[in-house]
Amino acid sequence: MNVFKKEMKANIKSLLIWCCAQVFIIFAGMTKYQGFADSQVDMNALFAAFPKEIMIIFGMGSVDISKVAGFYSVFFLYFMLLAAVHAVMFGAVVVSKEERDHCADFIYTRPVRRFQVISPKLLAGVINILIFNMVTFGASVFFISQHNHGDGLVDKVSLTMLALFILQLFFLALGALFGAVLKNTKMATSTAAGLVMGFFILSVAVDLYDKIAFLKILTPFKYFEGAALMINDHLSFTSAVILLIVSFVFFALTFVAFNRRDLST
Amino acid sequence: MNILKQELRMGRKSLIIWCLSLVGVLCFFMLLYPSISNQLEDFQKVFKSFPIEFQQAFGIADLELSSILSFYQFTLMYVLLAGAIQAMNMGVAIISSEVREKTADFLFVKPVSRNRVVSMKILAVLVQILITNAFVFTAALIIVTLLSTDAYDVELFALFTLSLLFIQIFFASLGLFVSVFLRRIRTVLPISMGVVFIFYIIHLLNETLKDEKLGLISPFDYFNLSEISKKMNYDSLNFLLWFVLVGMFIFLTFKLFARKDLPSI
Repeated sequence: MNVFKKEMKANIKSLLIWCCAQVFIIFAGMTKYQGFADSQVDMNALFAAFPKEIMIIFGMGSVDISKVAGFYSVFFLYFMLLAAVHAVMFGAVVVSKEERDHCADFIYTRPVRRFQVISPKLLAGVINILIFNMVTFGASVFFISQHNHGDGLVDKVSLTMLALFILQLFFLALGALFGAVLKNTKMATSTAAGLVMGFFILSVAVDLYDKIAFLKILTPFKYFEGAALMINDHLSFTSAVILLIVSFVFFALTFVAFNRRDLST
Repeated sequence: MNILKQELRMGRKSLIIWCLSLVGVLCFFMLLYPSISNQLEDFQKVFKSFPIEFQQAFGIADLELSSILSFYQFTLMYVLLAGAIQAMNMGVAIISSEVREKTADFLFVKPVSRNRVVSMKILAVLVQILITNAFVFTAALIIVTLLSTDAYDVELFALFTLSLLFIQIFFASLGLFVSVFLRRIRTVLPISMGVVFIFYIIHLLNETLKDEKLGLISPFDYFNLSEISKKMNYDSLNFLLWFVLVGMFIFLTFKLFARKDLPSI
């Protein structure tokens, strides 16, 4: 419990900054929506004429962004990116920081097992990403309802947030695994960052060139689609199960690897 | 001079890795070009059949999709993203690492002024950025020349590729400022990755929204590649803003660091 409290306290500032950035992005995006909705006449007809690859080059999906749900679904990509960076960094740092700060000789000589130190740390991680998720949810519903005659689209947004949370959990587990396996914090964060960039670039390439579509399975950014979540109310069950199982395996491996770890002092 | 040499020696390995990964991203996308260039030419014909008002509204009136540079422009965006992370990383790390690695009491008792230490370190960052740019520029020139079937506009190519230099300088100076502004930095990558991604997402958002005020926030918008290709030059107002901000960050770095309290062991 003490470790959990300490960890929450240590991260409150950065969490606050992350949440503010997220709220700002939602705010900035939705404020401009009004202009979009008024000026664009029949976006559907226009977009139907556009080839898919062009839309990707212009950074738009093939959804009707004159409707508030379609417009909001474009945001899902941004949420995924920010949430991934936040979660993966949190995981990588939280597991490996004691050695970096030379506190390992202090904390791991207490009369508690190693897993009793790691589990509250990971719990703090889960709570942190949950808060981030809830702030995103609250801000989304609030700003959507302002532009949608008071209707916040709560069902659709909560489905989107569920997908986002599964992704966050995956990235937290990935980061924690790197933190436990790799030599130090620097290595762990750099590897994690490289992997997130790699996932992102792969997800763009898959969109661009359909002959490599089978690589889709390698990048978590392609497991959920914003449009499917916001418009069709459809959360891909297989994707969710795969991600949850993989996260679970990563968490388990984190515990195993950390138990065998040679702590540098 | 010793400080500069030492910094360059310490940063050599990560500089090589960064250069290779930037060029790797570039190659990965550019190698997709031959297989989709035929499609792009077809789109060009489709676009030309649209009414001119529509073309102007979407900014595709004078778009040359069949030219390799339009694809290069798309590719370069991801190189800019990665390059920004690299530069910000260097900026944040180079001063703060002395405190973190407990070498501050060694370095800052030497008979050189703090300002001199800081200028040497800034110079080291600049040299590394220049090396990266030279490397990326050469590699890009080779790839684009090899892949293009007919002549392309070399000046535009140079303008595109040089925006990497300006964006890197911006993020490096921002990183320097952040590193002296915050009391203590324990991990570099979460900060630089977070800041760069937030700016990048604001830029993505602005691709759709085209809001002028929002464009002033994100440095990726100062060197908006599609604007550059239209004007064949950088936007003078944005360039001025870039210059002022970089100057301010560097000035504040000197100012704040001269008075900073450095914790020792």
